[in-house]
Amino acid sequence: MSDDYLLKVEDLTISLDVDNASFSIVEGVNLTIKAGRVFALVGESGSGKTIVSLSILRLLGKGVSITGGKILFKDDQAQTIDIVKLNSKGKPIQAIRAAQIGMIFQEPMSSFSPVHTIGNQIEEVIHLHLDLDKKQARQKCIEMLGKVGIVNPERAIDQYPFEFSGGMRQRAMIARAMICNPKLLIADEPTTALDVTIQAQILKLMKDLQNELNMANLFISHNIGVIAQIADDVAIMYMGKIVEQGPVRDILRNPRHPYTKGLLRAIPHLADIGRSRRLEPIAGSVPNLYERPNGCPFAARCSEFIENICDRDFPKSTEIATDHTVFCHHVERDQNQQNLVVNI
Amino acid sequence: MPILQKILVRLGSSALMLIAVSIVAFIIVSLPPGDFADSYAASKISSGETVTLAEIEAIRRQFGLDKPLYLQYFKWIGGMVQGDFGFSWGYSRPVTEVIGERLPMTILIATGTLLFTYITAIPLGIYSALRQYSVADYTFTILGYIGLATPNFLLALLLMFGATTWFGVSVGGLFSLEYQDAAWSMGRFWDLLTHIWVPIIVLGTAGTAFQLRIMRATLLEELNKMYVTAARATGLSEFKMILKYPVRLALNPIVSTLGWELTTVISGAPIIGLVLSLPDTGPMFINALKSQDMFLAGAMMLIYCILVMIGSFISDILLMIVDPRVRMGAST
Repeated sequence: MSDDYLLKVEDLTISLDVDNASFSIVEGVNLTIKAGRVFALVGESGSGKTIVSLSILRLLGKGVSITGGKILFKDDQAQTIDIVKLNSKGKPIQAIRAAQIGMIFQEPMSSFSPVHTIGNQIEEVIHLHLDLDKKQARQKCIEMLGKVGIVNPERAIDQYPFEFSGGMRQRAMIARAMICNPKLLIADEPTTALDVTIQAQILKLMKDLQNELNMANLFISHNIGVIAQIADDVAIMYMGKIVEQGPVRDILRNPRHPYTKGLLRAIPHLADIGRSRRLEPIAGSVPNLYERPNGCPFAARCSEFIENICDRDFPKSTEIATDHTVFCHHVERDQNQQNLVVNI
Repeated sequence: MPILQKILVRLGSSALMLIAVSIVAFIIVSLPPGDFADSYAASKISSGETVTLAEIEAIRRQFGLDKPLYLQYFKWIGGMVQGDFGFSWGYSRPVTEVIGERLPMTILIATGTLLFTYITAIPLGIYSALRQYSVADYTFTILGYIGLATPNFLLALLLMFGATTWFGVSVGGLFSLEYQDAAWSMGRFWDLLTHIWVPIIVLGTAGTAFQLRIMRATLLEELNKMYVTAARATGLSEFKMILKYPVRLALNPIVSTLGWELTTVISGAPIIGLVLSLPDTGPMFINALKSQDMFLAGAMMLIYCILVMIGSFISDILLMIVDPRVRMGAST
């Protein structure tokens, strides 16, 4: 793959320490986010997608630490920084936060301090990273609030978060994350806590801003429908590993990993209303974190399980189309047979 | 509701509270069997003099003690309103004078104790929370539990004992002998400072331990909240972020228990005043209660209540200042 990436995660491993024992919660994750593109990370709750997103800004909580791999980021001076090597409480990472990589969180209700005004909390970001005086900062803040669709921003800037609705708070959060014009915006399930109509508005807003500012976006979600609307590239995570990734069209039209197929089958379709088609859930449930299976983590629930292969080793990556890779023994075997046929 | 209106409502309820408290205070000081005339006679008799029944009745009539209780109350409270707190039979001086010369010391000790409590508890609580399970955290915890569990009078005795045996200084009272009745000067003030720390530590230790635990627990809880991670994601330095966001929110319970803390200090003060023989209102109040010097005891009880009410009023106002949700009456 070429060198035109903005953020590249290589072989990232993250562990959780519990009472002197250590468990991997993210294993060998590789991601490449290109400038100006929307990259979606999809997975169930507990699959490690939020952990990956937090690790990029070194915001992991107590007991959770990066134990291997690299997070390479090209900063605005075209220098490549390995974020993993930075001190999580040091100046270099603080200079990247919000200035070059902004972040939006899942819960708009609790992402703002309830006792400081919205304006105070957004202007603070301006003062940290941009060289503007108080008046200019306030002006910029009002402009940004207007841009994210907050009605009457002159008034809103002096209001407290509890005077805002959930949707407004998420808009304000977007303003706070984008005020310094970062090159990458990480959005961790930004619409999950909102009702459906507001979800659609927020998604449109993010898409518009992303186009306007030519920003890259790492979008974390468990909602395939949302991904289809917004993403260019997508990676599917299961138990801390990426099982399939590629351009969003390829993945949605031609899913190869049994887990991806299962996820897509589990989406309700409008056309099915009134028919007697039931949703197809994925059989079984996610194994316990502490009993991570040896081979493919999905083996125990997989309909295409191959004995003595799937439960032994984690599958190698198989590239089935340009940039579309799958980690599955089944796919690997098919591909080998095809190659064999071609070679003959 | 606008802030001013809230404050006015709060003041109005305080006034009603004051009336109720004055009635209760008066009833309490009148409750013990007998009255001042009886205890006056008893003290005369015990010193070998004879008192006739007619004399006792005369005293009773002179002070209006033969009238029904509610009439006595109205006479008492009517005088209060005009600034006449009645006459202290025990001290043979007007109550205003007796209290007036001692009250400043009480207020000084109470304020000093509160300052000591918060100035120590808040930073130590923050430190404990940020270095949870460190040696320092465990040390503060242990000291805190000892502080909470030790009765004040015992602590007072221990401090007095320690100061006299190891440092050779007398810590009873608030002044050394030479400054006892001297006029105010820098020297006298310094002398006061060298004495006042004892009652302040005695009265403040339990409260400090308690507030430290509250600060630690609330801050630990706040540190796990989403807005902290979100604030970190803005690139704010860790120290500034902690002071600006979680610490600010963790101050809420501290501020709202201010009035309550003052209550503990004020109700603990008389006993400590007696043990340490302080020239404040404490020993005077206890003597007044014992000798049924009811105007003095009643006035003092009322003043203690007023101090507590002022404390909780200040605490409410402070809470409105630190938390806009309280100020604006929001639910979330």
